[in-house]
Amino acid sequence: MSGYHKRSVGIKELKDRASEIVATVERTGRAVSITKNNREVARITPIPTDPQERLVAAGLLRPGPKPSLLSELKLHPLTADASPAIGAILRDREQNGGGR
Amino acid sequence: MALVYLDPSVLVAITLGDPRGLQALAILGSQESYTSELSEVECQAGLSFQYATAPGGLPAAEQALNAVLARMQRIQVTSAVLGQARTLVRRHRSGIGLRTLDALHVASCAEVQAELGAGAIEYVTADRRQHQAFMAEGFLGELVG
Repeated sequence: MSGYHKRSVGIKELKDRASEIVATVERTGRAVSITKNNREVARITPIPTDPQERLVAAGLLRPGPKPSLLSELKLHPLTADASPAIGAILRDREQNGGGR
Repeated sequence: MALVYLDPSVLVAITLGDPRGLQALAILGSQESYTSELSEVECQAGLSFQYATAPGGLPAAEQALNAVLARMQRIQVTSAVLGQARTLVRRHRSGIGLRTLDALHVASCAEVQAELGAGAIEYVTADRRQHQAFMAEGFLGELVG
């Protein structure tokens, strides 16, 4: 079996077959571990193509199902003027580290 | 297709049915909406003030806000976001007078952009000073109202 089918490779094999290994990670979506002295020290992992998955992987979003679209939400209007609420948010911003 | 970051100033407008909220929803269209985890607290502050003299209306407004937030991706305030916000304050405090909370909102988008690439996220706000802050960092977006 050729090396790039392995789930882990040594440093020398990584140097010799980097292109093949990266191509395999990309094609299969499976990570390959890098070992040094038979100990796992690093990993080449695929980058998800879906933005949500990438942001979850980066720690910016919590994992979970994708929310339904906000534009499809039907709400009963509560008031035609949200100026007091918007004004309160803007005043808070001025007061909390924002005064010129 | 870009993701769209909605500032709390437009989230309360959407929640309550203000025309600025409808304008924001028209811009959003069928794109995915994002905001910061912080927005929940800022929106609550806005709603609490809006209903300070008529508190009977607050529960319905809070329920509507929860429904809005449930349809949004909420960006966590990670150490990377905080570090980015510090950088933005250092860069823009003396020039445009960047405010602390704006730095956190812009930094949230900057981290999304760092992960997904330039132009991956655009913003909608009803806050003129925040609009300036986003523009100073080269983001595309809209000021409503």
